[in-house]
Amino acid sequence: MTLMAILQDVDKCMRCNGCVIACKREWNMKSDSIGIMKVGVDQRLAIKSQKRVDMGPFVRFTCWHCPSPPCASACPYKAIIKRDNGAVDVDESKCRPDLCIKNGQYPCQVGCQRGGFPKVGVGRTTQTSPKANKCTLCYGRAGVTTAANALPTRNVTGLKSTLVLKGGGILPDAGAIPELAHEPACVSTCPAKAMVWDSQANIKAYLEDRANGYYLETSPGVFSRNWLGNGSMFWGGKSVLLTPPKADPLVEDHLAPMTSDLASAALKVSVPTLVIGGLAALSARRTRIEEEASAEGGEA
Amino acid sequence: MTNNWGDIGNSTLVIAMGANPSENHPACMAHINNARRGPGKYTDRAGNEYTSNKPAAKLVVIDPRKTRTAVLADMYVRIRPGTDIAFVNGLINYMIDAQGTGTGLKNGVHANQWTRFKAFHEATANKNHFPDGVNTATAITGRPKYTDATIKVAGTDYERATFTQGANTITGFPVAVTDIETADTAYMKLKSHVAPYTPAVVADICGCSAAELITVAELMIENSRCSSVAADTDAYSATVNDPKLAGFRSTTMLYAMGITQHTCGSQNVKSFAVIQTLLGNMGRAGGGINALRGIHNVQGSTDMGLLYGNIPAYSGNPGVGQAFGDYMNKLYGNRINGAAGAGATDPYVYTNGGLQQKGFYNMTKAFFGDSSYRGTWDAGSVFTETASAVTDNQANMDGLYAMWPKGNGDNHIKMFRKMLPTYAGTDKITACMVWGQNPAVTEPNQSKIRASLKELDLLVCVDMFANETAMCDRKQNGVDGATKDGVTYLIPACSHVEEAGSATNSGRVLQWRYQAIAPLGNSKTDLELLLRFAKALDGAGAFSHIKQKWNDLGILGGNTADAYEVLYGSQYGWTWGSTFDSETSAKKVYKQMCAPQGNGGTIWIYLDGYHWDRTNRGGDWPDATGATGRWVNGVLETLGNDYPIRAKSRGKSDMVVVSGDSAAVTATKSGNMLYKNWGYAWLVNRRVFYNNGDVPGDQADGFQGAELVSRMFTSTNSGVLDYSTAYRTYHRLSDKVFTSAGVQPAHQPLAARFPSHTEPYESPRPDLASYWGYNSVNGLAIAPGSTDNSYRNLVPTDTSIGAVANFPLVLTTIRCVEHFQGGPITRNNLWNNETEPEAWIEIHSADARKYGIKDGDWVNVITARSNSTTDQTGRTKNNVASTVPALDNFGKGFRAKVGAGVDSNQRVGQGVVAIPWHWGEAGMSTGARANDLCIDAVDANTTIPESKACLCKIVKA
Repeated sequence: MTLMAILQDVDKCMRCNGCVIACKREWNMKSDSIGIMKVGVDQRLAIKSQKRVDMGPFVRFTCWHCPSPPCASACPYKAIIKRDNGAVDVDESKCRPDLCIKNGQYPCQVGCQRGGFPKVGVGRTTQTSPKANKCTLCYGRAGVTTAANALPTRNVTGLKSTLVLKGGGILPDAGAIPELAHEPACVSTCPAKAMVWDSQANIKAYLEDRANGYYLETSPGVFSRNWLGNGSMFWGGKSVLLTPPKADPLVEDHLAPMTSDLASAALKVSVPTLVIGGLAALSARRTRIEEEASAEGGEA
Repeated sequence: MTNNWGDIGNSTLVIAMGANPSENHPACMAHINNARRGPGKYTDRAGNEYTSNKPAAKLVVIDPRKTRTAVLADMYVRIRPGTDIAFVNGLINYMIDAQGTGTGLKNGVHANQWTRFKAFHEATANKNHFPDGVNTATAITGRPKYTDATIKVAGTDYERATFTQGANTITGFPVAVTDIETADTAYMKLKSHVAPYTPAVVADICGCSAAELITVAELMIENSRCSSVAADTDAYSATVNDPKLAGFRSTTMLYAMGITQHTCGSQNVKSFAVIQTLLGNMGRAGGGINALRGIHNVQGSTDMGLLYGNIPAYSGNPGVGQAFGDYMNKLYGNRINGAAGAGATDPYVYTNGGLQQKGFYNMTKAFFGDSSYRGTWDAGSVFTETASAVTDNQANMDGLYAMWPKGNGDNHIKMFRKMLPTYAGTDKITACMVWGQNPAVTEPNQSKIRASLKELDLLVCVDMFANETAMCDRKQNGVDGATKDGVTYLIPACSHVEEAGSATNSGRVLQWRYQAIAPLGNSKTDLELLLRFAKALDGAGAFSHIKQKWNDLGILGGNTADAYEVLYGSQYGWTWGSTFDSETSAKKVYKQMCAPQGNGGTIWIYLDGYHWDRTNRGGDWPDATGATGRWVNGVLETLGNDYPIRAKSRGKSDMVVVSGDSAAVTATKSGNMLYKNWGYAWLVNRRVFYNNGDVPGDQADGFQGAELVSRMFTSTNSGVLDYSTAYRTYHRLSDKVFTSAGVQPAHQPLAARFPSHTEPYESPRPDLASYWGYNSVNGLAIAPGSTDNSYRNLVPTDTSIGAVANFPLVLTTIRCVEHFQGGPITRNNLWNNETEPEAWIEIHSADARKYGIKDGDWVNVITARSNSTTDQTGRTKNNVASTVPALDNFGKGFRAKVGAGVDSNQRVGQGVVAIPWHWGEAGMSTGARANDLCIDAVDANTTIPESKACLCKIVKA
């Protein structure tokens, strides 16, 4: 089993939401929470704008698939499992939110400081009781277990990586990678081909190859890394400065910024992923917009 | 599209003007992303690694709205809605130095580019000419090869003179010179035409800066044919046509409704043609002007002639009183001597015809007689064709031709006006069949549309959903003076995955779509419904005139014939009463459409796209080994010959030549991502149109007439151009420009011959309108009540037109990625409604502040025609029973999305309001309808409405 990963090239993403719909369709997610910029139990992934008012770059908010996921270790019923292919998966048969809830909080949510924490509720039309819902790299659906829908995306064997190291060199996994046939629904559907499904080693080698452009010259001669990820979800950008997709804003982003934007740039604190954090961010943004508006008044 | 989707990846500059591919054509962005990759090693879809040294393309977006495409672009230029021509003419002004100050190509730094530019326009070639009464071509030497830049212009036409070469004498032949800078050439006329469009003037019209204009102009110079590095001065060799080379430069221009939905829409497109022809980017890899189509098969519907002025394959309607031979002589093909000519040019001899003529000949037999399959298929083929029972002779052809409807139908604006209660003409329309459309959302100025639909005696809607049209308000006997009830029928159609058939994409690649599942419930496929409709009409005696004609001719059983069986059943494989088989019947239609003409093909542009072994034009399918089958999930499934063609698998594309390829395989690969053998597309498998045979590996262009060049100038001459076999009747643009004083602008003597700026019919700049004028139609009143040659005659006289004093904001319509067209499909889909639940307006923060509107407020948008909250006359509220919570926002107006920060960070500029037009009052998600507000002024040539610019005001709802 090869350790796999998704790479989102944020320069290419145009926020068509094709991946969001593909995910919902693939996993029979419900659609009774109106508005896409939400933390709904039916939301395994969302595409959000890093800048306010939908001005891009557009970043995928989803589970990072940490190497040692805190959600898995926090789960008292061992329902969250780090699979061999890298996926942080949920075994619904073991998930018992009714029993694990403590002080109004679910343990799997508490430790997560990244976007895409498990959302608890009846998120799928096939669920009858609340369960944790999150991105699983289409584990199960991709056919590596008997769970869920066992269809791979592509019925082709012997697929090799399409990544190329421009600086020369050979990919770590240069041979055939069987799991390439098990493309997650989001990657498979992306019209802009902004996402790549490959082995984690290949993706890391691709990002680390300076010739591929994922290190930005922030000052003359100084290049800083402009890619993120250490599990099975990576983000890379060649032209825009990337901020970590850490939390989920709770309202439409033409109203609110990405909370992480504020967190990393202004507040320098980690952002809580619960309601109170979103409201605080909204308020902070309002203040900032007013400040900017008055500052820009001179130019106009 | 003059090129195709895959070819966009070959560009070094992508200009999206009036197009938003990120949200409206998402798949297009993959090709733009391909173009934006820099030099490096890549793998094609088949896994072959190759090296490209082509520089990374820049993406420039020119649009009133900073779309999601614009935020991904290298450069964004904001212009005022409806000022595209001013911007393009400003680019040309700068490029060819119309001011004489040494700008653009006349700048010393571009000396080499100027040399190549000039040589390209002055290049000559031998072109074919057909002297009077002769059916074989004579080569005319030294004619302009690519463009009309060296052809002289006199008045509003080309300068014409008698031309003599050897024994050939041609009268009225365009005069060409050798130097583009000779007085009165089309090039010099263009130069003086664009002279008023200085950067400062353009900045005032468009609301952009002069610096932005100049930057775009310099980018286009640097990314055009004249900047492709080649040793020869012709600047056009295989060297500059290989998009994998470092010296390759090419600009493609993408457009969509932002360009076409104006009263000057055709002129907007023409301005693209002018600048790309001028820069030599037509007929090149990575070049051309490319219309991004809004629906997967809209190109197919255009090819099939679903418009009021066309029959299939771009033939005009046969005219009233026009004889068969006269009509045939106007088509693309061979010269035919009138109605009953003798000898080699007799129109009744099938073999005398050219491509379009043979297609029409076959079509006439297939539509009004039996199908006209000719000859035999290859030995061993399972297709068994029966030759036509109608003998080819003059009497039979005249008889069948007589049954074609003659003359044009009504355009959509006129058509609805003819349904109105107040319409007094004898040709009032009292019944209407709406098939897969939703005019109660999509047509502008809904007040008129609703009154029209209400007045109909009979309204039949064929749709998947009870949409706004099917639910519209209808007249009742005794109410408001009506004397009978208006009856509505809704006939359930199935979705596209429940039926088989072909689709033609924007790049004219044909794709076969298998029937995935049988139609659900009581729904039926479109084809079955059409055949049932035909059967019912026959049963009601509607075809009796056809049978009478057959009787007179003594063919096909005459008055005793089963007309349905002859015209439909036997041709499309469905006999009344039997189970309908979508795959079988759709395949038969497809066969008739794509067959070689000798085998009854009717659509000449799809010629030979029928069966893999029928032709050497369609390439090999599915692979070169001769095996037959289809690709299923990447696996070759072997089938018999009896299988419809499908686009060649991309995995087997001819994208690049790789080491180890045999010479034979290499020869089949274009090597430049043009997908030469991938699918079947126009024309007869071209991939770049107007290519003059210069693109390596692609089909040479057959249009080599003596005058046949890419034109920048539009002559007024609309007569038959009898110089060649090709396109002898030219369709002229019908535009004429008038100022509000009723005269052509004095500073634009060649307005409409070259594109010139005109203001939208509701203009926020009356000062500019009185100077530059409005577009009007010349010679044909296109809208009810308006008169020819009058000022602003492209809008019905009963339409209210607002003035900027009362309506200070410009309204422009937009689309979003989550919803599709008039909305029946997507507004009845849970996930789409979840992601985009309500209609909104986008507004600049300064305007919002002025009108007291905060982000998230509901806003009433008001135009001279209607408003979004209280004027619901004739509109019905959603009353579809639904088990899911309906998103009922109808009558609330639009939700305000207010921009924030500096101008460049806002969706729209000051003074502009953008509104999505997908919503209406029916379905799961309802919302305010943009077309209640929009003006029904239309383009002079296409009658597309001016949805992109009208005037409005807004108040908090």
